Amino acid sequence: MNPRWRTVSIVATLITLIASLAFLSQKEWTQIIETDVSTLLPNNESTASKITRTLVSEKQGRGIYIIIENLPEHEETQARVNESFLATLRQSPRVDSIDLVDQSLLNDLFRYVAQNKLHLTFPKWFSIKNNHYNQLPSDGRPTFEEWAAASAVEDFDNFLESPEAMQLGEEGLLDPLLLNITALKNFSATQSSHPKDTEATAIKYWLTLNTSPLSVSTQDDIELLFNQAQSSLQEIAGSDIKIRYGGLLRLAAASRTRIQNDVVKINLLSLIGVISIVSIFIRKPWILLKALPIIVFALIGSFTSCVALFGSVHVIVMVIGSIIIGISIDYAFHAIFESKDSNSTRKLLFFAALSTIAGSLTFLSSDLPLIRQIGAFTATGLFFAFLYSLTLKRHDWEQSKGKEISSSPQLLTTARVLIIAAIITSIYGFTQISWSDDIRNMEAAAPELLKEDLALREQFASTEDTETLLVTGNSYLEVLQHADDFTQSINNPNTFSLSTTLSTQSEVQALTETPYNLTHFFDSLNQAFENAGYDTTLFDSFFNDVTSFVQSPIIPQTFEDKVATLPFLLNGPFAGLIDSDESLYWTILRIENREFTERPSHIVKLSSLEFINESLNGYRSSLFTFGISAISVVCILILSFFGFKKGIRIVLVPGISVLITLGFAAIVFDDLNIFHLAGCFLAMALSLDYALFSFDAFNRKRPIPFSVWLSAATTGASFLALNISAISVVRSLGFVVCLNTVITLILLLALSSRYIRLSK
Amino acid sequence: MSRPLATLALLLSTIALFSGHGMANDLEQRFLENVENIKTQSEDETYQTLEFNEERHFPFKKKPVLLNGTIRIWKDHASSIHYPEKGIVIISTQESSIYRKINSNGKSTDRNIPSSRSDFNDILRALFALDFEALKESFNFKYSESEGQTCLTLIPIQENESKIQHLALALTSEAITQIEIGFGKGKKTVISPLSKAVLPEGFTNDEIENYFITSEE
Repeated sequence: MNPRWRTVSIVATLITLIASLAFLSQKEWTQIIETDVSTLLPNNESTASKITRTLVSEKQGRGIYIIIENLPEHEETQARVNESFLATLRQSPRVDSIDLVDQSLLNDLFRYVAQNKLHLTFPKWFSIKNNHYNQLPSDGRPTFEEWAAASAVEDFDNFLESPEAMQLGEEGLLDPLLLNITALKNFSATQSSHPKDTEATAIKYWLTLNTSPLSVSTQDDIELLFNQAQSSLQEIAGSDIKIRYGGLLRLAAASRTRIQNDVVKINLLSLIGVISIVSIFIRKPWILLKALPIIVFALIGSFTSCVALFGSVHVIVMVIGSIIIGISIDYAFHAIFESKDSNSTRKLLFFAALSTIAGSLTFLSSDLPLIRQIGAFTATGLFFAFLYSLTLKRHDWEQSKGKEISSSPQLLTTARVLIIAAIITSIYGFTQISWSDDIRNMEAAAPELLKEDLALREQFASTEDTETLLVTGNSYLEVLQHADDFTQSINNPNTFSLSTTLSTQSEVQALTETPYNLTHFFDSLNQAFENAGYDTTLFDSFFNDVTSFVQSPIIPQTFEDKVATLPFLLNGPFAGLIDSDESLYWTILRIENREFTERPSHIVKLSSLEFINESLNGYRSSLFTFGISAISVVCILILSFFGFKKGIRIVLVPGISVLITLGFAAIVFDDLNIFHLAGCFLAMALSLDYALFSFDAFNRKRPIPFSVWLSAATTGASFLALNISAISVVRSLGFVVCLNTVITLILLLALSSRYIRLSK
Repeated sequence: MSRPLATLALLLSTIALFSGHGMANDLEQRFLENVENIKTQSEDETYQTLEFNEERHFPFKKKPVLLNGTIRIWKDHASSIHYPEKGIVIISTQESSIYRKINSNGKSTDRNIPSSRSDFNDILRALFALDFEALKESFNFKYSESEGQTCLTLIPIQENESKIQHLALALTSEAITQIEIGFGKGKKTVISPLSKAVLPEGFTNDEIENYFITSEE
């Protein structure tokens, strides 16, 4: 390279390095790396996605379920344990609220519903009776007011004959329409049919964090807090007492520890692999010291552009963006181990970098923030890597080794046989291909911990058989209406919905527009109970409420306003059961045994797992679309630079090798996911570089250049190390890149026999 | 009061006290003998049924509510109180107690009895099992006799969650004849067992499915 150009490169590299570091130094590292998955969701997401995101990241995601076990049976000690535990946890600035999970959790809600029963539950009662009345033969039937009053007495008589009547401890709950009893039954069903009963020697709590459970400092603080609480509880109640807790925070903390161990292990193995290979090939591993800074330099560039454009870099982008590590080190190898007889290395590096950068830049037009970040991360990283590669001087090395390997006739014949076998196998693989993304594959927490967490969750409100649905609408009354319509259509008794207790839009509408005289109805009701031998003074408070109810205007808005208070009364696992955010209103339905197949568009599954998986599926298809666009851009550029005949040969190598790899991956893995796809794009970029440099050598009747062998060997070794990871998707990436590197080399070897003179 | 009179009064009151105590002991003795007899008779009986009448008195209702039903006792498993067409209360010895409603289509719906009512069911469980030891901590015992039956009245030592104000049990050497549970302010239920049957063969599969908690549930 011209020394003047090299000086210019060095100056340019230094300027960009200093500018980048100056920019990054103004930022706080904790804010640069984003770990919250919900921040990756697209801005134009659906209503349901917005609500789910709120629930996942603000409500359920911040919940920690806790059980204190092995308590002594002595009630006083239990009370002291409870007091001490609550006091310890409430002191922490990380804790937003902590509630005891028992019947009392719904007491506030029940009390409010009981106090406002004429607005919240009476319209439902009225509507049911009205429907029954309309089914009666119209000849000779009494007036609705009288019939409904008599029917209420009959219901009351039946209740007194039911098993529950004697067990009802509080007569004050009784009202002539049994509105409170019905609400109480429904709310008790929520409590008793979902969470498992707690042992007498255990207490359950629900804690809500006021910071993200994915934040490292929150995880550390909470762990410390529980350790402190455990010690103080042991002082009160003995050493057997045990605190178990679960939730996203616990899993995320466990995943973090495992990932940290994984990273150390993989990096160490990778480094050993790369040093061993460099030592075998050139016997001077310190040459690596010249090449390795390119990775640091590329990463600085990637971080700078992402932080400048997006404010932070998502951790998933860093994983997928490892593309640049693989490619940038190859740029260094091509520059350092440039052939003596080649004068086109810098030009080839320029083509390689330009085409890959142009391809990556197409990602910037995506709607999905993750895809845009990957594009910026990769393009800038490669640009910085290319800049750095220009500053590297060619190393004086022995070239014959590469030639010997590449031109052995047996080797080339074997390569041809192998590539044909690989194509046949991959064709079979393509018949097996299926795509599916599951966030659990990214889960790095130990399986035992996941099992323990599920068992713990079952003690609260979540079982694997329970389907949770999100019902949306334009008002509280409308969401209750949608929920009621759906629960009636599926007719599943194991359904919990607030709409079975609370009045819906049509019920409120029917009451406010009723042709019947409500005052007359309530008078008839009082009289009917008197006639049936009841002392109606028991119902004095009910009839007092009725007087003010019928005197005030009965309009739907009053009913809507009464429901609007409910979200403030729901805590712990019930938080978000009915709620609103700006103009979005929702309620949650829980259905056991999932006996339905169809649901209207305003009812969606509420599963943070499925929600994230659906998002990942969206990402995969977007990554595929933009990946294809990137490939098209690269192909156009290569064809323009090298002409159609030469260019098509170059682009066919990565194309064929990645298709073969994909076929093999489909055989090895049950389902392919977004990380296999990301691996394919990385693999294609690497293969393209190998093809560029190899065809340049073939044109000079030379075998595959040494720099390609070295790049491929180090890439293969690095990505082979990923296969020992505990995280399934990391193994996916490792497998695809590693296998593709091998296949590309075999393919290039098979093709090389057409261009070079075989050694005897 | 002169000294001889005072001494006489003291002597008489002491005699009265001792004779009264002796009478109470005697009533307790007879009651417990009857309990032992009943227990001995049913010692080897794993499955029993008991027809009963029930009178429910409510302060706000002039006439009591009259009911009848069947109690099925599966020893060491559960007691099931079946009110035809109204529902079933299953008081399990192992698991949570439940209310069961059998619909017209034969499908049943179970609902756990809230833990706040567990006191009430613990008391019922102890009464059916004639296990008074469990109740001694929470109730004062008073024995009496009436029309050839020995009776026990239990008064709570302090207010309990179950809101029970009194319990009364009447029995002969053969069987329990009446159980009364009072909640104060005129609310009470009186259960009068009518007939008892022992089922050496056990309950039918249908009975087990309908009136007890099976493992699949």
